[in-house]
Amino acid sequence: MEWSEIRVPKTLYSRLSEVAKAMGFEDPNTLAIHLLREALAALEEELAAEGISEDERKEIIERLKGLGYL
Amino acid sequence: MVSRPHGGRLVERLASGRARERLLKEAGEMPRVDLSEGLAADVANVAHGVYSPLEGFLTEEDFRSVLENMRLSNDLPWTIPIVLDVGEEFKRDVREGDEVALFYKDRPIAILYVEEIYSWNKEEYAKKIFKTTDPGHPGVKKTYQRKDFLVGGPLIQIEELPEPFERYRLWPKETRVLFKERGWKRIAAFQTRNVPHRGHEYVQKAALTFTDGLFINPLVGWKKPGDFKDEVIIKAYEALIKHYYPKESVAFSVLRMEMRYAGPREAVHHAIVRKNFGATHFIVGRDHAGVGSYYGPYEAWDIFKEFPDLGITPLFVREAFYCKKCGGMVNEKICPHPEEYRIRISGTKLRKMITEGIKPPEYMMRPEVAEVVLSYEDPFVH
Ligand SMILES: [Zn+2]
Repeated sequence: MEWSEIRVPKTLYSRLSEVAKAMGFEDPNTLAIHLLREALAALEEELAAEGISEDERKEIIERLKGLGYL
Repeated sequence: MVSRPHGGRLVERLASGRARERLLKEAGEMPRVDLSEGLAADVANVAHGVYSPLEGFLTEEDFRSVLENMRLSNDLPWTIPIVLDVGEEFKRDVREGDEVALFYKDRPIAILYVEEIYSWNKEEYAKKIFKTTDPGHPGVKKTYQRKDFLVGGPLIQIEELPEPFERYRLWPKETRVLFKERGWKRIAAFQTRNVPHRGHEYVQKAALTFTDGLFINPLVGWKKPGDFKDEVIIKAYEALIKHYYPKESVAFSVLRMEMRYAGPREAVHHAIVRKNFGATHFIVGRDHAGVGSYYGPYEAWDIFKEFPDLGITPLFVREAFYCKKCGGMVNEKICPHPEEYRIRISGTKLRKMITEGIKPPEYMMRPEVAEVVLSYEDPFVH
């Protein structure tokens, strides 16, 4: 794994350290990675596109009806 | 809200119309790779977005990253490498940038745009993916039989795979519409490769109790000898759903995907796949996708801690058993009674009864399900 650095205020770093220790994370860095991934996934969720056109949706609904799913 | 596809966008790699006709014609002129049943299924799964965000077979950077970090090179969780192995002659004859035709049963089913051909260390692969290099492990054995190079790059499907259970084949695009049309917001997916006994029913209904819909999605194809035949599993579920499930809360479809027996890594893979189908929750069994005693009983649960960004919630439902004192199906968390009251449903015991033509008792298997299974002269794979 390759690494890049991120800067955080010292006060935030101490907070991270305390919570990391209390929750049994290896170090504050590991906790920061965990939290970032969690938060980013939530943001990315909002950015995601639906990607099914109205015509296609209708076609799929017809197939699903034909198969007895709807 | 139906789950967003893994990586944010549902992949679709299907050629249609003129482009498809042209590719079908050109495929005959291209270098050819013949696919096993498992690899052909991987191609279809890429093409229909089951493996979103993958658009083809892994290139080396992603392959290394999946092996080392259980993530793609863009940091997205991904635990099972989707790879195509090729031999010496392919490496000699094909250049990066070439197009090759992927054949299944003597028909071209897809075109692969060769981005990279690279070598791999099978022992290292086995150690990382299966946590063992023991060739007695079915996944390891299969790995050692594969060819010496991997080829990565995007693909496009030109021919749909034949599906004997066509009526039950739904792709992610379809299940997503289905869930939405039914108004389901929370959907629990259940992975299986077995006929349902009362323990399975209990687990599924426990999940359905606090979700809107249950998505039962058995894997079909390539079973171990001794497993139930696909058709038996499907018919058994038809009977179970008909007699014991609220029809409007259940969706049943099959998925053609190879079992790798990679335990914890495969549990995460199974969850990601169901996320692409639109599920928001995934039921993870004890020793999910395990084999023999290669994995600890709760390893498949623990691994999920490493993925706060998975985008699908794992449901760890404990094994169910019948308790004579409670008078029904329960699990360890809700039954206080000692072992003497508990009757455990073992797959081995059930199999033995069925082989001998004995109808399992109702606390093990619903009579309608048992009748279906027993109606087959030989319900097992050999
Ligand atoms: Zn009890």
